[in-house]
Amino acid sequence: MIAETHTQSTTAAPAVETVVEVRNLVVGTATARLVDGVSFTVPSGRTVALVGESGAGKSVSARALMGLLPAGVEVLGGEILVNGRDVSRFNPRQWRSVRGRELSMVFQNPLRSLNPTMRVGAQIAEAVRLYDPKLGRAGERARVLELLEQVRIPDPERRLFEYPHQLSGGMRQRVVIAIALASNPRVLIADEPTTALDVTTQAQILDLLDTLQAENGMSIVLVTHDIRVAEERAHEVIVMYSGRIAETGRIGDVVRSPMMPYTRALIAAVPSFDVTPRSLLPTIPGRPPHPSQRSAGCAFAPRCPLAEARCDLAIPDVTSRPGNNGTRQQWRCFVTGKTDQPGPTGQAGASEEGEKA
Amino acid sequence: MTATLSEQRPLLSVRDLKKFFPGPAGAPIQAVAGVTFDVQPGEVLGIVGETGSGKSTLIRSMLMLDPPTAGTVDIDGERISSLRGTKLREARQNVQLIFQDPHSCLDGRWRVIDSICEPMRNAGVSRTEARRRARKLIERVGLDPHTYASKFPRELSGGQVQRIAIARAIATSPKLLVCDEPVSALDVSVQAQIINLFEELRRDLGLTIVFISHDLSVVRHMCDRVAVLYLGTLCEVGPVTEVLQQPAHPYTQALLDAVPGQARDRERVVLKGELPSPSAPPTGCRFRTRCPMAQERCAVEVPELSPTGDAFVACHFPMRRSA
Repeated sequence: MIAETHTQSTTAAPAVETVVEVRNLVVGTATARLVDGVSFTVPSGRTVALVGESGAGKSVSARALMGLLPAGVEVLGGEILVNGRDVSRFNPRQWRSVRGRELSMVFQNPLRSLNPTMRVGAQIAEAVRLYDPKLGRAGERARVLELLEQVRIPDPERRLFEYPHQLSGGMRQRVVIAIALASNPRVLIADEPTTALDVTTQAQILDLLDTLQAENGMSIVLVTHDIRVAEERAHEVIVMYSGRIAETGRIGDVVRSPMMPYTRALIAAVPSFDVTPRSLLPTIPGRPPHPSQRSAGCAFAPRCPLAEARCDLAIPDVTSRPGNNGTRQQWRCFVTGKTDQPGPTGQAGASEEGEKA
Repeated sequence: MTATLSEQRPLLSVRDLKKFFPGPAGAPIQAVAGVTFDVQPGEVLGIVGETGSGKSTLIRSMLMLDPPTAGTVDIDGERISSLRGTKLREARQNVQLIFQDPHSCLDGRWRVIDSICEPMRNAGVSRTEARRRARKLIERVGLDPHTYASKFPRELSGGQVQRIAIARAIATSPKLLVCDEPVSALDVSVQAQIINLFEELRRDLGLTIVFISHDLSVVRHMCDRVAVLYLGTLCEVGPVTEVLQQPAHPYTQALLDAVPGQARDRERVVLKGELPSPSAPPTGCRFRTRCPMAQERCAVEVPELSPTGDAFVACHFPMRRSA
């Protein structure tokens, strides 16, 4: 899958259309800002990974994009532009015109997304009917089979009549993806879609998402705690920490030369195959602050090995440097951002291998 | 076959272990179908495999929590698979377990210090002595006893509860520690802390550990040897440096290739289809229905674990290892 997408790579920056633009988004409860001033864009036909640990705000951000915030949590500020339209203050009826049509979502646990008492064919048909009520019985059935084939479920005619519990975890997640695709969304939001799956099944599901993107050009917002998954599957990455963006950029640039100390620590903590076995891994002391107890400064400062006095006093401005393919790597840090750092553009050709262009 | 190179007596010795469950239509579910391995004192053995490979059943029957259908298990020279009742309970005090969900090792209504004291009290340690040692153990696993000793598990973060579960597990100086996915549910930064804690305890206490995980990077980092389990049988056992660098079994290769970021420079070995039912396992090699290299012989003849290099591989057509 990766090899196929390589061929799309071009040296010049292609003019990529933006499907979703999030501007200064604030999401929270009465007492805490769970997402605190987040801005990013989702380019057409690209995969953007939202990476972070528990409580970083990645899932809340993803749910805000879908208008699926839990009770008591709401958008407190900022804008979510979907094809230029601000949907952030939509009411439930307005949301129904966007959700599913322009944006669809896949969750971590496919068993919770599926109705255990309904055959999978009927569940997919329900989604098909919702977006295309005039299709008729035969048309509906044809579309359901088409979707099952699209998500590479073998023997779809038989699977139609099975219940979720009769399917393996990987097959269930394929059914959930088929339901999400029923409306031909422009953006698929996948919230930890493979976290509950085995590595081999994870690879198959991520391959499937790559294939679907290559076939129909949809954008994917991939929410993951695993920066290795992002490295292998995404074009761009947004690293989140304590409700804010720590660093963004082209995935290869960020992974190879992370600038924000949190990104560096996150990458170093993974016991990858490049690390000496049995060596002690670099760790981050302490825990992230509770969203209601952030200081006035950088949220990572209390745990940061490079922190200085000023880091607790104010949030640093964005520093950026040119990345590969005309992108920019951006981060917020007083210490690593104070000088004009040379970008990784110099090794553009050499650094292409092993990552999506 | 004895999968050891050492002349030392293994601390754990499992021979042809089988665990069958009654299945539909009289066909037994062969969850563990003849597994043999040794663990040397001070060694960490990783057991990897997917959901349904039999990892957890293997552990449960190995420790006689669910007595095996056939086979023997020796711990430190004692045949625990022949023991019952009080004798078995005594022998089992040499083993402690750590689970993915540390709350399952701790009683939520007990303060953590009492949970740590319990196994010591059961072993006859006085209350005062047990509490003194428990405070040391809390410190040993990286928490401040003044702050944490009298907390309840629900007041702690996931990483902290796992530390307490580890403190409880090492409280009675067990000969063998069995860990079932102990770091899988943790965030990366917390996971790194717990991995380091295991490594420190290992260096200080010379722990012998059986470590179950689906994460090959964690296994490669923490373990000396690895056993790859597929549908209740071992595909490959050997030093991590050999098995996870240059796997000889195609299943090991497929598992490795599925680790994100592993198969960048070549074509991945991708598995076909799904795990077959353990009540009707394929004839011959159990992996053959999903193996990209399967041939006729694989359907007829069960491959035995046989030595290749420093490892043992159950495959008729093992991939070549360069010397």
